Amino acid sequence: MVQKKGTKTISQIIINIIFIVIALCCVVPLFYILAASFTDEMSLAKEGYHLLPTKFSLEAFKYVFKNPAQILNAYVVTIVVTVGGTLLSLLCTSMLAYVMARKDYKFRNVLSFLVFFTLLFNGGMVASYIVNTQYYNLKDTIFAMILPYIIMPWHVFLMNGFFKDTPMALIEAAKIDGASEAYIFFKIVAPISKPAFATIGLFTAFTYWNDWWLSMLYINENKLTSLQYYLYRIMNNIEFLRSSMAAGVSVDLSQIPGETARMALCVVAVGPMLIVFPFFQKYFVKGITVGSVKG
Amino acid sequence: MRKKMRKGFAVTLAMVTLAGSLTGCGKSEEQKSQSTGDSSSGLEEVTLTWYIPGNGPQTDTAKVEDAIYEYLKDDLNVRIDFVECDWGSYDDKVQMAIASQEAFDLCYTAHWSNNFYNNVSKNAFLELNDLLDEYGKDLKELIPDEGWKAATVNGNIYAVPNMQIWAYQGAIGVENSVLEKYNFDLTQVKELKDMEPLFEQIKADNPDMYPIVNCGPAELLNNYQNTLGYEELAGSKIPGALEYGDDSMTVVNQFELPQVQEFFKMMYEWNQKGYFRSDSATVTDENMDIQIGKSVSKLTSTYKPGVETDTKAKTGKDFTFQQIGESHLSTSSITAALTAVSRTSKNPERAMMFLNKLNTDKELYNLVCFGIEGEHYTKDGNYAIPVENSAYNPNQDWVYGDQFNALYREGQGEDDWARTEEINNSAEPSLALGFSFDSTPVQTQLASVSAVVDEYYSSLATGMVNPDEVLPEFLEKLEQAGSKDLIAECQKQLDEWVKENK
Repeated sequence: MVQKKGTKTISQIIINIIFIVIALCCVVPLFYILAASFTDEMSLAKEGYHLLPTKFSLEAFKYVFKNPAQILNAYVVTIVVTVGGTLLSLLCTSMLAYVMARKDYKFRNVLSFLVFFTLLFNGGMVASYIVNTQYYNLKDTIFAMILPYIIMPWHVFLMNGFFKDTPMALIEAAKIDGASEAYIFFKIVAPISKPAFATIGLFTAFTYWNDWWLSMLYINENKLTSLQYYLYRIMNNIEFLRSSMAAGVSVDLSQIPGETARMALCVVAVGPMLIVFPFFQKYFVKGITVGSVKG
Repeated sequence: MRKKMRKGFAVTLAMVTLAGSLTGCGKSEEQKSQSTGDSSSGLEEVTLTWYIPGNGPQTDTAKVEDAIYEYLKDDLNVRIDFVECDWGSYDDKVQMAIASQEAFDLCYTAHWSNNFYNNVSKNAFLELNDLLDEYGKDLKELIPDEGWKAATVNGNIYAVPNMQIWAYQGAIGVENSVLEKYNFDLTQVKELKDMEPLFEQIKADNPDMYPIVNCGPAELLNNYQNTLGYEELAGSKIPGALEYGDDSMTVVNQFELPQVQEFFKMMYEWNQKGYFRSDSATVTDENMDIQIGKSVSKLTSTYKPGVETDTKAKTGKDFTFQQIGESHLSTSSITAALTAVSRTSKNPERAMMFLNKLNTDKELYNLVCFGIEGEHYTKDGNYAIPVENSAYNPNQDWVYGDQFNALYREGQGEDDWARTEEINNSAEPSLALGFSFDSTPVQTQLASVSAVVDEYYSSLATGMVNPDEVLPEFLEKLEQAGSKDLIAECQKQLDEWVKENK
């Protein structure tokens, strides 16, 4: 008995060590980025990357936050898009997936096929651009950053897999008690599917949070620039200024942080998501596995 | 309970639908309200949409647009609507606008951004010949013939060249303190090889230093090809080049030229001696090593007045530049900045009138480049000094049109534009000026040749490998990939072009 316990701890130690190493592989680069963002540009170029800043400097963050009103505004835009988009997307995705999962729905195979079809084929960028700008007039509106990601077929299928496990008997019982379809979905099915909602919600939130492409394509107005696109622009402009072909530029370009600013941008961009993630983690693992294992 | 649920559901749905329809309405109303008002010149007011790359939207763009409108109201009665993009996203945005046939009027185009030739072959731009004759007489006169030639494809002018430095002129720049320390006479340098004594001394005193930069935009061969006497016709680093002054107009593989082979050998030697970083092929920032004092010299392919100020701004070091070799005008040096009129433009006549005015009216040009005087910049003689944290300072006078109209920026010399123009005028035009290669018939060969170039070029150009061993291998693989077809096609097109234009 004692011996058995001993081998268990040894194997546990080994497993723990393996996972500590793997975890370090993920975390250490982040620390390098964090340290580099607080390092003086010149000392970074001379001495390279260190886990502790060789010469402490806030210059990179000062450059990134040079225009605080703008970055604050970008944060607001991104938060509105992320929260609004995630809620809307969850609503639409779950309703679609639920309908596809209901065995008593006659056209569910047709519907599944239609959704699946878009997973494999799509009209391409130009077609969606034409539809969004010329038919929906989404250009320079906040919806341009929300609507295109509302339904992602992959998420629909993930949720569909989850809903399929919901016992039909439960739904029938509710029906006999006189519950409407909407009531069944929102009050009975949704509460027991929390892990699925959390998982898909997190995926969607990441998609919205990290997106700069839609913002780049459809937004010209400063007011509506999202955070990621704003950061992307700062980075681009640094690069352009540092190697520009324009003559007689009147700022002292050698003082603009390049590498360190890049790191600072990274910290600004990932920060909030790192804080959000642990709250979802509880459901996260469960959600992924439950959705994929089917009886 | 049940009722409440249903109500909530309905409300959400209604909100979604309403939101969608609201955005639709808002936009269309805005568009309607644009075409009102008549000017004293009898022209109806129109709005010209102009895609422009740069540093993204400026805070006060709307104000400047209003000022431009005020300025042009009694004359052209044109309102300009800038769509300001970043350099990084400009290509995607304009390409999307063109592909979706969006109605816009003007856009910046070049051989390196928003590709001019692709757009012409896609029929995205209007032929300007007639428009120029009718509405752009001053403009046509202003820009030298070489400029129009470069913007001509298949006999039609498709864009207005932006006047700026057009000539390719190689120049070597060395930090002043180093020149003083070693008492080195830079004016005696006639070719890159003449720098060797200086590099040797520097390296002997400071083994840690890399005297010259050979990476990113400052890569040596790329900046030296003009001095080596050839012009790339088929594309950057793609086999298919013409030697300057070759009357027979023979397209050659530039990597087979003796001077280029010699150059690769020199690079190998320099790498061995540590004259530049041995890992140059992987470095992209050409200024960093100069800034931290590891490197002290660099090569440029476009020498222009004020290049010293430019270098000082980017690296914080004082440099002296010495021109080496002759200066040349080629198609690609001119097509670096063009303004085209879109085929989807609803008012091409007005667009041309505006371009004509912009390129010939200094006041208008400076309004576009610097914003409103007193609010965004102050004028000091011929200089424009942007106010601190100016809300409108795109800082790229060469993107809009004839740069020689612009006020000087701090650090530029009093006669920089005149000197630039002089360099342009004295540069020898390439025999193939105006020729542009259409790679569509040899698309497959081009792809495989590019792959081979990607594999070998950098290591040869930064001297990482011995050219005696690797160069023959490189040339052989190029041939296998179809470089011969590429060159033959290029030759065929060039011959046709010569026949048409002589």
